[in-house]
Amino acid sequence: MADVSTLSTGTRNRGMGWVAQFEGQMLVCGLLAKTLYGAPDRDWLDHIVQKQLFEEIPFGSELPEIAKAMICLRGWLAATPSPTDDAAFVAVRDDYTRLFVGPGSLLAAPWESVYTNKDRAVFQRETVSVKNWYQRFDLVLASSYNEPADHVGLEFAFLAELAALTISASEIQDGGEVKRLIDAQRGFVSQHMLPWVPRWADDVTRHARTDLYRGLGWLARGTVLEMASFFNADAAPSRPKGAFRRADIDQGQA
Amino acid sequence: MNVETVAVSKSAIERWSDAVRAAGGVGFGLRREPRDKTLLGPGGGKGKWIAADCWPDCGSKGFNRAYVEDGVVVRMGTDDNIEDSWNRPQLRACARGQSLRMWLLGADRLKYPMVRKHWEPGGGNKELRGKDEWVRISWDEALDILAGELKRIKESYGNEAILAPWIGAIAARALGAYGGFTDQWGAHSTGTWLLSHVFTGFGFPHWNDRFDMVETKLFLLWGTNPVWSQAGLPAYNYWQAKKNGARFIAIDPFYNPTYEMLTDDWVPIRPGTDHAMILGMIHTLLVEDDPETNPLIDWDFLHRCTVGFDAEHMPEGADPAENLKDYVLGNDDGQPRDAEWASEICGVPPERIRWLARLLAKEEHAAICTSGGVARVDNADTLPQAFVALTAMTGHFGKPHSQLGVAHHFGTNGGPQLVQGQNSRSFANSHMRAPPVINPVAGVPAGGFHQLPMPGLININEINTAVLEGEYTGVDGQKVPIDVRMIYHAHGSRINQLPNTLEAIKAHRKVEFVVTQNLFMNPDAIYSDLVLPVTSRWERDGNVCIGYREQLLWHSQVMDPYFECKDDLWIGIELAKRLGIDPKIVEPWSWKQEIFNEVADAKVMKEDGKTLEPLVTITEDDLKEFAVEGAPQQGRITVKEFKEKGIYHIPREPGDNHGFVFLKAFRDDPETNRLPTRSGKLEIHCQSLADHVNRLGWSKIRPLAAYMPPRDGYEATFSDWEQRIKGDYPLQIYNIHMPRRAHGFFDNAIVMRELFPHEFIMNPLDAEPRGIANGDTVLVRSPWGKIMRTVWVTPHVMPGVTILGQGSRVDLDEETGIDMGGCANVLKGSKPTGGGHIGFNSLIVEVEKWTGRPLRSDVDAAHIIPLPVDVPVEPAPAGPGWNRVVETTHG
Repeated sequence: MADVSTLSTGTRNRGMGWVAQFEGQMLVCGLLAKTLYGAPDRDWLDHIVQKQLFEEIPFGSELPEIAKAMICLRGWLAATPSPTDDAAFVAVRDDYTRLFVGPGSLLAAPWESVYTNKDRAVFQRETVSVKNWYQRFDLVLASSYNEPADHVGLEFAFLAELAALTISASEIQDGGEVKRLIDAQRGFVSQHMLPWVPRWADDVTRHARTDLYRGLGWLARGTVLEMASFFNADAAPSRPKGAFRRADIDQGQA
Repeated sequence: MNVETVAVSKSAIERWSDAVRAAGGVGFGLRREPRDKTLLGPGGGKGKWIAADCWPDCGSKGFNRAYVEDGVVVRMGTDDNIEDSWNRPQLRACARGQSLRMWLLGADRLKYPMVRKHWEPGGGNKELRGKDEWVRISWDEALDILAGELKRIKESYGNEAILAPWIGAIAARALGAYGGFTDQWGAHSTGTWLLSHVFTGFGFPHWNDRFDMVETKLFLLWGTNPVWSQAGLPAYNYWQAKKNGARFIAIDPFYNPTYEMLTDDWVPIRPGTDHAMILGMIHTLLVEDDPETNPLIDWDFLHRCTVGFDAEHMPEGADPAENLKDYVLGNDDGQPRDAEWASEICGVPPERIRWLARLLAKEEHAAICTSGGVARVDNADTLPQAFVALTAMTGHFGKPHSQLGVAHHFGTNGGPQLVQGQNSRSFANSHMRAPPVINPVAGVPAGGFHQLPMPGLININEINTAVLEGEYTGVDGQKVPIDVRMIYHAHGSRINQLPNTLEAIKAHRKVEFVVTQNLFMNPDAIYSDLVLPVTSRWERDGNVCIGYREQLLWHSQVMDPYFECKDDLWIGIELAKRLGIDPKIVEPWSWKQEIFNEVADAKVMKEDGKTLEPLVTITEDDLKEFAVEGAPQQGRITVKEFKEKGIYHIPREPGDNHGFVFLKAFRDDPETNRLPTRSGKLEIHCQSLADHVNRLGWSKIRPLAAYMPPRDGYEATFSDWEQRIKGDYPLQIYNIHMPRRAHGFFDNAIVMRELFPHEFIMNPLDAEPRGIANGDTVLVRSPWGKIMRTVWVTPHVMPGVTILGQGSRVDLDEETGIDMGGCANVLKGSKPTGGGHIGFNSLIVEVEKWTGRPLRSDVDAAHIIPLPVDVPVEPAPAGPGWNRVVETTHG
């Protein structure tokens, strides 16, 4: 993964708004990767509690989803002692488990194909397509066992990587590469995120018990919509055949 | 691009950069690995077909293939690389087989080892089982917990305290070597047929060859439904007989799809009363038979080949009064078991009973084809003898185009296996040629399926009461104390599939430790402390098994293991290491080598019908290529061809040397070809069976086929049988196999739930007085529990009888105690009768309309993600076959 420390975060020329946009995308998507794909990590949670991470967000957006996300996340910070106590950590761990891990039924299954494939199974064509996207940019799953590439957290990790690459390419003023990366981000957001992440995020916000995951649900939804808006991405046309017709992505937005 | 206008503060960037840096970088979960840019499919026809196992135990066998592109199983296929013909029919997959892909890749499979949140050594709060939350742990932690509890419990309470009911050979080998465990005995499926196969001479294989069968002129299909239960060739074979002009008559409480396809007539009969009906038929023949003017009875066969039919032909030492003829005529107690007597019990009009008896007796080439279902009834221990007597007296044993066939597992096509060699057709497989590991607790080989009582084994009906009450019934009927502290489940579904599911849940909340290794979060896993995710056979090095009589199948690995799933074999090895057992005991050689050995040992019958030859040719190059040990050999097809095709069919044609008629040699010369019974003959009077049953002591039976009312049968629906006053539970339940699933398997597959409903079925005459209309939700109550279902009101089931399919997963509402999943065993008591079979079909209930909170649909309940509320699930496509009954009669 891209090493964030190589980026001159504090001293960068902030003149170009869209560089800030990519910086924000990189950091927010990177955080979503860590929190949605990664199991709760107590040391890291201690870190973000101590730093009161959610007082600010590096994502200049006026979307109501982002605002809701910040209310939830700040609420979680306010209620969580620093360092986290056992109760706070267990609450986070259990919420993550019931939402994304199981066993058995999940409240918000975190794989794209479950939401978009007509068979609602894992390891489907969508999974291979996502793997191909990663592979185009020399990225593979770090997992030690066989799991689907279309996990929501990995899709955010991919967009974080692409944002980092975009920033690097812009710093050396490689216009061709920047264009290729932006096209890729537009394509991936429309093909692989818009069709399902908003619906999945609705399931998270509906079922989460902690303000942390409720907030991350809103943040995931807002981030995808924000990126879609930024890249002028439209949801790829839904697949013609299915066991049932998929609702519009905004269905269920309350 | 929309250029952002909202300002972002520098401190926000710094703060978040810090957090992402602490997470290790921005692309958490991904790693950089420059590689070949050739992208993966799918598409472009780059995939390949792989022979894919279907191991769930419906009893039938279809051949399934999976089309795999870049590791994605994109569709299913079947045995379509040979041309379909009657001489060599394709072994086609059924709807369940076609759904394997979606079932095994369902998002609800177990993915990681997990432990119950409030578990602690010794159990912690055991009442939380089934309600607690879960914590993901590593395989090392999980195996350490399992080995730790096994050690603790063995050291504190002894090996008997470890109850591991039918866990499969692999786990059993490790536990057997660790001093053993308490296992179960008894038959789930075969009902009382099991003991009749052992004792009466009506053994295996008892179906005639299919080329013989299709010339049969009359079939009585008696309580059987292969179209749903054992889809595939059984019904196809019947169809050939139908095309030959055979007449089919159904005797069953339910007019099912098999009967829709085949039958000319339906004789509705109450569950558990078939025995009475048979006695009424026998009585009819006895009183109407006249050897000169109206010969109905094959006295020659009865006298030469059977014992116990009349006083003159009793086995040695038997009381002559205990003969069937005098019992049926009422010469013993003044109560003739005539058609009128039978009709009162079974509900078939007397004239219909007489008509059927005459029809069967007068037809030269007739067959009775029945199932385990009729014998899964309390007190039905001598029902098989009644069937044997009826078949024998009407002359249908040992003659071409005549037979008594039971169950369609290999059915409508009997005889010696023409292609031999298998690891396991079902799922309890292991190294077949490895020396057995003895389970010292019972002194029997560890693993496998124990059908008969032995010291140290608990009857399947009693495994939960043994836990709760601390004792079980021994082989001589004595009460044996036991102190179960731990339950180990693998591959089965004991809580759901054995009687009295609520009692099972209580038992699982009593012991100190429960572990389940399975594919899915089935009820065993739900009420466990530790769940271990295992691979399916699609994720292992293949398997070899027979199809029916004429096919051998070799399945290969279809896909990589799902998430963190591990093979049962790996779990066994890791457990052995932790328990200080030589892992070689569990895995004497690699699984790949085992399967190759099975293939090398496979035999096929030569054209002479007598001698066997190797199936496959193996060369030195093959051994190198497969990377296995072995020796070259000459066979019919190359090992590579077999591997690639995955199936071998032996060539057949009418008149070949592979024909078979059960008991033909015995009929021709019973003195030379004695049966393995005490008398050497077919035993209509069977003292050894009665002794076996009576020794167990749950009930007392006579050695002749005397009718005993089932404990929870039709008679029990009355509080006063003489005055015919109905009691608290006035309706019977007929507990059938549904197309959605094979026992507990497939039930959670969303596609199967969409296609095949699991409804409570009742007749309009029972529904209307209760104010119940088609599609209503009903509450079904028995003395043991309550379930809720949507009702299908239809004349396809006879009045007084309701139907509930078996196998649906219990979904207990802890507040009300109602099972929302419609598990039939919630309604069934667990006290055994007779020989310790399970009386699933003796079950009485009351039904009422439910007006409370509506029942969530099964489709909804199975969905891993909630369906959008305004999007209806498309109805099942209309079409012939599977769901035709549902389609044509709903609403």
